[in-house]
Amino acid sequence: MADTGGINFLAAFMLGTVALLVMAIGIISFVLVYQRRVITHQLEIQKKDEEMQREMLRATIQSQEEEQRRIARDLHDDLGPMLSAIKLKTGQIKKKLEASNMNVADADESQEMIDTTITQVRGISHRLFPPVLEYNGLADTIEDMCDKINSDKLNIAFTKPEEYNRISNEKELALYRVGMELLNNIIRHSQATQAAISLTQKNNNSIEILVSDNGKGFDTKNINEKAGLGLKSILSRIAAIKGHIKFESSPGNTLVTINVDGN
Amino acid sequence: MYIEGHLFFNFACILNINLIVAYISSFSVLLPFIILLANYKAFWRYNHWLSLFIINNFISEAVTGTLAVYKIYNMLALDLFSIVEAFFIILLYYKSYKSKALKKFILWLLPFYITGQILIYLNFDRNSQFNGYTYAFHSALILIPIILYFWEKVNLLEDVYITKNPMFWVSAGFLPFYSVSILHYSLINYLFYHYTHLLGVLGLIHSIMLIIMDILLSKGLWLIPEE
Repeated sequence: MADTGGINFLAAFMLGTVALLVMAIGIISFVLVYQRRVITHQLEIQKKDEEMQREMLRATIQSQEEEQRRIARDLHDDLGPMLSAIKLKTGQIKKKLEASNMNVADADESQEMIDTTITQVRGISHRLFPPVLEYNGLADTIEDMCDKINSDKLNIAFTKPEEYNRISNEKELALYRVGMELLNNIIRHSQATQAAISLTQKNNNSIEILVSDNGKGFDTKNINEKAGLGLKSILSRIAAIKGHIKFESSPGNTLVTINVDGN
Repeated sequence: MYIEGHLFFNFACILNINLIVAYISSFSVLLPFIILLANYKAFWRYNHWLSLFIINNFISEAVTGTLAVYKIYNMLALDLFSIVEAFFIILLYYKSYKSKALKKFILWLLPFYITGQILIYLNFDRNSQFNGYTYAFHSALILIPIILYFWEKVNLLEDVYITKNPMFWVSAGFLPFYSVSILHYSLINYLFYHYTHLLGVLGLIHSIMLIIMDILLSKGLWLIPEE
């Protein structure tokens, strides 16, 4: 009897122990599974939301670029020839004035003003959308940009791959704008005397751009929160093309690394 | 009444396997303690109540074990260490909770715990029985902050990878141990008087649960970032 009682008690005792263990493991498993499932769901929603925001950003940037390209084309194709025609007409007026032995100073001044306007219009048009980007691609455009900026105060060295395979227009344009903004920041804020841009392309056409300078540097902590308009534009353009950008900076040594998929 | 070997269980060991497991469980407290020593500054900064709990656990095992070896009455020491343990666990969770309401609630457990322990002591014949009800009450009370911790985790959903959170493993170690302990401590006197030969089984399960708890505690400590 005592043995039967002992066995029954042992069975009840073991059953109780197992039940409590199962309960404990059940709670832990529930927390693990529930937490993972809900968070995975939340992450999926967040990912979709980010993708949607990126698409919206891309669409906004694309429409801005389209608008800029249209204005640049209008300036170049409509206003440019019109100004040239005005210059021609002014030249004819000047000749007539000279033939009549009249004072041509005003005509000369007008021609000079027209020349300046033509140069300015061309500059604005190129800045809005550089034709070299459309025809020659990113590497030549950045080289062109560096040549124009190079001066006694700031020396910019540019290295590009021997053979550059073109990537999508959207990515090239975004990288060009980012490069321009970075150079603009170097000129305006860094007090640098030397800068370097290096463009490298891997076999899969992915692009790496390194922009460095010897300026005073800047604080790279919490850059997303503290970003000004220019930096925000850089970050949003890079995000729109699913690229990566890294800022490293210390006094005398700043390096910005941009990586973009080539496809 | 004295407690021999690993806490109070070894005296009932019938099979050698029980003895071996009991000794392994006694030494398993060394595992979290060594990990703690290896990086004590980081652990202290992470949650000093956790560090204090592990130190208390180690000292408790060392002192009660030594007293048992020399056949000296060690129940008072064990009771004292248990009370300290309850304090550390409650404060450990007090620091871990994000919710202020939970923090407040958990602090109310302390006077409740003390009152409960006093009441059990006043109605308990220490000479004739093992103080199992104190430990059952102790385990039941400790389960409250642990379950609340998991409840808060499920509600807040703040950790993307909860398995990377040290407190998750610490709590996962506590939960099965203290759940099973409620039953074991409630039955220990009954077993002692009616089914002495079954005490070995109880001791074996308790030792295994202790080893699992120490392994999970160590896993939790391992995840605490180094300095």
